[in-house]
Amino acid sequence: MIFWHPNGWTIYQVLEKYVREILKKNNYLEIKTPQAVDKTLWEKSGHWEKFRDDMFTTASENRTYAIKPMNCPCHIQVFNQGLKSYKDLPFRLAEFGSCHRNEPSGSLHGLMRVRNFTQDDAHIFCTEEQIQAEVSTFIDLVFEVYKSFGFDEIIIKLSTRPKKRVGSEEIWDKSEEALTKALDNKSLKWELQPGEGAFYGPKIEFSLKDCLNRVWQCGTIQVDFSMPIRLDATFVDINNEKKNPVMLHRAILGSFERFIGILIEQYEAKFPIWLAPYQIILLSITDRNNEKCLKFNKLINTQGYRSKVDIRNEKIGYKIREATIARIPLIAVIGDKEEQQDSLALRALDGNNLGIFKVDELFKLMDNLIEKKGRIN
Amino acid sequence: MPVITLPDGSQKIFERSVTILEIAQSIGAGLAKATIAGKVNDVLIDATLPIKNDSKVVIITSKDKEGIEIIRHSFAHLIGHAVKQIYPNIKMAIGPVIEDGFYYDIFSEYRFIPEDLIKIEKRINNLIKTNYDIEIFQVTKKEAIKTFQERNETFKLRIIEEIPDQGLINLYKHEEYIDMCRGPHVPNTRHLRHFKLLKLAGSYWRGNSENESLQRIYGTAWAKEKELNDYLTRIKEAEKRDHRKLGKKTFTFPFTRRISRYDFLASKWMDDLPST
Repeated sequence: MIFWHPNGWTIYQVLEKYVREILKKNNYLEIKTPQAVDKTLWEKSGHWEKFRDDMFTTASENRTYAIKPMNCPCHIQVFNQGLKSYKDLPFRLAEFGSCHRNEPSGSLHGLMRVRNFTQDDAHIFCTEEQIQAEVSTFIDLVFEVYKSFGFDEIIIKLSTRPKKRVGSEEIWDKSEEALTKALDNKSLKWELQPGEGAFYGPKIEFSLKDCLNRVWQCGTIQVDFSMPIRLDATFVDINNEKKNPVMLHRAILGSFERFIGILIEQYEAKFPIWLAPYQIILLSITDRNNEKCLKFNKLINTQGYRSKVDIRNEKIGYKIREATIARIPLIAVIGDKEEQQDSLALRALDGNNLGIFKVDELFKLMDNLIEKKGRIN
Repeated sequence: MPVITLPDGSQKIFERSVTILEIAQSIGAGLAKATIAGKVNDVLIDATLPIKNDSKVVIITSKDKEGIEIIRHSFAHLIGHAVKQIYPNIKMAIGPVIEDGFYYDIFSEYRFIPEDLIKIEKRINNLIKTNYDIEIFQVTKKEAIKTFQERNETFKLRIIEEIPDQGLINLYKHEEYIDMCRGPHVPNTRHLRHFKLLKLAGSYWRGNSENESLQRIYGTAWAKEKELNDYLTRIKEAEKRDHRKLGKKTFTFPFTRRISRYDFLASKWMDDLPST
């Protein structure tokens, strides 16, 4: 379990805000479902029978609850509220869903492997005919998001029907074809993993390659013919007949915790300004400059940037060194000369001297850098 | 008279059964020198085993992905060869290939310390320099049991128990040391040069914490020295970037001490039921 401290939590929140904007642009509806969910739902979904030992449970008034290990059954509950028509599809529900899984404490690994994690989770309820278009849009989304972090190399794997499976051959044919076409229409390179699909449908997995050539599987989109039937999700089709929608499980980052772990290693904790817990630090050269420092700091923070000061009675070289170790991307020095000009002397984390900046110019510079996100090109 | 079809479509006819090494020799001495193993009708096979029937044959060298994996696997055996010389009373459990390397799980009363790795590494270096042949023996289950009973390799005996009675078991003889393996392995230690033992870790027999505790020695091996050095630089860089260290040092998040396993996409949650 992770105790997020202020700096780490800032990164988390920036990420969440970014994903939320993307979801909104792509017509997802954000929801929130409970942490503890009645056992009967997990029995119906089949999870209780298979994963009982891997779920945290709790009880109240003779009822047993499972701390949710995943969000999908909950999303079906939301979908099932009220009658849905074919005109409502595709119906996209998103949740930053905090999940708990009681996995053995064997191979612990920081943020990468935890018992409580938050998925950038969403489920798309759609018809079989809509699978391809939804998958196609999702692929673009994955590329856009990964690019924002500077990950340009993405490995795609398509997994097809396993031996043990549900659903007719026809629906497998159809959905495998939909996934294949969605990839091929973009002329993407991908790898086939025959027989590696889940029993409930085929899937595509997206992995990114980091600066050390390590491969991290993060994104996924999975077709599911099974759960909507199990949990009675239906819609009324054009002929006024009740049908089960197909459900697409999808995530881009995978889990926030793990993704932040990957980012820390990728950037060596030198986050781009967009994500950095503090974007700028203001250092006073002498006590005389402290007031000006605090004034600038207030101004910058009120504009929504993340700024802090170091007005300790220390040598400027020492302050710069400490700010560098803390990996703050912009370091501003304020002495008498700068005060006179109502400006600050700016340097980048790598020691590069950026020159003298008025506050307005600083904002412009920061806006540009934030806009760029973590993109390399 | 096996007819051997090579990847370029050319065919060679041999008078009697023939080995991968002999086929390579018939093509050129250089190729024979580089031969690690072969693929006969898409199945990997040791370079010194006879091929009796008409077959499609691919010769595997260290340039092939399979070749480097075989090299790594043979290095795992070398851990066995070396540690048994230094600590004759230990028992060898299993030594598989993993990504970029290999490991061996060992049952030992004595607890290895990091300095031992240097000692073992030195011994392995001495062994491989003698360029000894690694010989394969295909034996019955009964014979395999006898071999490992004599050597008191109780973990190997447990593995044999799970093997069906019929069929042959491959034993690999590294001078006085014998290991059991599906194979294939390199025919001679001169193919084994660029390696490093990386670290020690604890493990359990069959991965079950109720079973015996074992000690695991991890190593890496590559076809070329440069590849080995590049890899070592890469893991050093990865250590430097370890988010747990960086996170604590620079700014972010200490954790509670027991954080558990969660492998988002590899976990069984993903396989059986939807998990997003």
